Amino acid sequence: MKTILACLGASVLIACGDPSSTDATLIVDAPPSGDTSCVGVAGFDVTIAPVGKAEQTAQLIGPAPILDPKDCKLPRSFGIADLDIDVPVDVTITGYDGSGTAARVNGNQRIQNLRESSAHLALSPISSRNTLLVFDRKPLLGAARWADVTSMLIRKQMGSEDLLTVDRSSAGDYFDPEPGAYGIPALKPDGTGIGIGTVLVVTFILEQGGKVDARITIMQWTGTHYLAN
Amino acid sequence: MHPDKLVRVGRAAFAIVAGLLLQSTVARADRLAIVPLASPGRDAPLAAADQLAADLIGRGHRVISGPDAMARIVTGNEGAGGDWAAELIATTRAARAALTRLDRALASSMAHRIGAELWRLGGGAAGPEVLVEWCLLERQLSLTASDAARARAWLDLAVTFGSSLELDPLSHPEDERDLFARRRAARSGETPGTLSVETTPAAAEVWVDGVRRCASPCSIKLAPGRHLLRASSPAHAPAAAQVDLAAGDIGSRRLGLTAAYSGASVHAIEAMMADPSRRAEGASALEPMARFLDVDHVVAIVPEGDKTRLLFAPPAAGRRPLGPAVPESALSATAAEQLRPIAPTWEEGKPWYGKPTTWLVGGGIVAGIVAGILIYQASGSTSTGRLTVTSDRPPLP
Repeated sequence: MKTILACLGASVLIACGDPSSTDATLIVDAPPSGDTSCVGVAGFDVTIAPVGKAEQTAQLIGPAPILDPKDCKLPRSFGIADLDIDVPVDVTITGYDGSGTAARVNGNQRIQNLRESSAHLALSPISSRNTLLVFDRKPLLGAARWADVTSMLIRKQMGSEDLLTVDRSSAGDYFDPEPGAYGIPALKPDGTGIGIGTVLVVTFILEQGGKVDARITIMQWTGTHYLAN
Repeated sequence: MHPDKLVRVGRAAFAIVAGLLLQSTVARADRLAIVPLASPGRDAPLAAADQLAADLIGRGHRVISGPDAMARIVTGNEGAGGDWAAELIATTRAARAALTRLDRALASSMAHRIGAELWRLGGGAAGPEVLVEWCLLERQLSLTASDAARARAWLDLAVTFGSSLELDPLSHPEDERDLFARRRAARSGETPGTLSVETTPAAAEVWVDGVRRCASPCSIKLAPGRHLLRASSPAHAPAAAQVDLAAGDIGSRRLGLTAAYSGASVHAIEAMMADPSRRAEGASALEPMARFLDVDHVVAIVPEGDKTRLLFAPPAAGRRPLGPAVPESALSATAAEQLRPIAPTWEEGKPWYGKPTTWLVGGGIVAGIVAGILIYQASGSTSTGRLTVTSDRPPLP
């Protein structure tokens, strides 16, 4: 009886073993050396679309935005199984700043079939990206919790012009990486207009209806972005 | 079919064939019967037989234990004739004597045993006297219990059984004989009932109340009341039944007879084993027993000096029927070893195309090749894969 059971068990194991499969890897390359477009990217949207089939998208978001061009890479790997190896696959990657809506880099690549063990996708800068402002938000909240913040408004002190509004609902998971890194249209790298020494008011709207106002001053231009505190 | 499903179907087909081939190589558990035999001056080793049966069950065999095997062999071969009846009548008279000594409990116990024996053998085949004696004993017991109605019922049953019997004046007091005769005369005018008897197989002898009445199928006129019925046929175990007929009733009974063991008796086999020149004959005489018990092997054990000899009927392929004599502690291991075939004699003498193994292995090879082709084609055409997007370069080879 034991032998019969052993035979049946072996049969089941043989029958139910995974069929042979092919693994392919798409390596994401940073923009060319000297390009700083990756700075300020809080995360990446990765879309994999097999031709003729439904696409799948993942958000790969790290704990902090990229502040050094050398760190321009995906926070983690992302894979999809059970793809037909002979069907072409389009892969699109877009890097966004902390607003979750302003793209700073992107790239796309078609993989003709998965028999190629590896392929490359080069990220390219988005030409219309805005100058970046980076500041720590959580120290500005006082007793309030970051999780209770539903939106954030940045404007000049004593000014009526809103520089940036970010909603948690539209930013999604991009809202959380700290420090905050945002491309602001009114900021110029050459210091014309808003620049070093400008005082900004940051207003945090809380979930329960309250708000917290804080002041920050643009203190430094690093060559890739402004720092404020 | 989706390529992945094709691969799985191919694998399943391969697995089934592999499983069947593997299973075909697994030895089948034997059905065995253990028969303990006595030898001159030594009783049959009943305890050793029980232990051997338990050990062989533990090794995966299906075993008929010694007492069960002996009961099946004896069924249908026990006597229900004159000796049996004489013994029962003697017991009846001993019970009457006990009743005379006012030992009612002993008499009642003896009467109960006699009755059970009579019912079991359908009244036997030795005339109605034993039945009448038993009924009159029960009547006496009822009278001593002051149960007149019950005593009358037993007298009626005695008259039903012995409607043409005269009671022995030496065994029955005059008042009992008179009572029996008067009751019989009173009932002589009753309209008899009719009983039709059919048996499987047909042509069995039909005995009613210890008297042979006809060969089945047949109809019998019987006095109203309860009757014991017995049907017997050569090489079959007798069947027994009881019928109740009212005056003028027409009843029918169908009895099935099972085959009885018709080989050499256990005592005859023991006698053969006691004679060294007839041992092989004794071992062969166990083979009809194996066929009757519907087992693959009868394993008999016989005390021999301070050891116990094993016999196998029929022996396993390549083995001898007369096994070794071993100490009791080695019985189960030796029996298991002796039951293992050592030569595939079952295929000997057959041409290659007549051997099942040839077809089994050939079929397995063909199925394996087909499954392999399916798997190769499936895995060679298309399959599924995994795409990983990463910034981490794989390590250089």
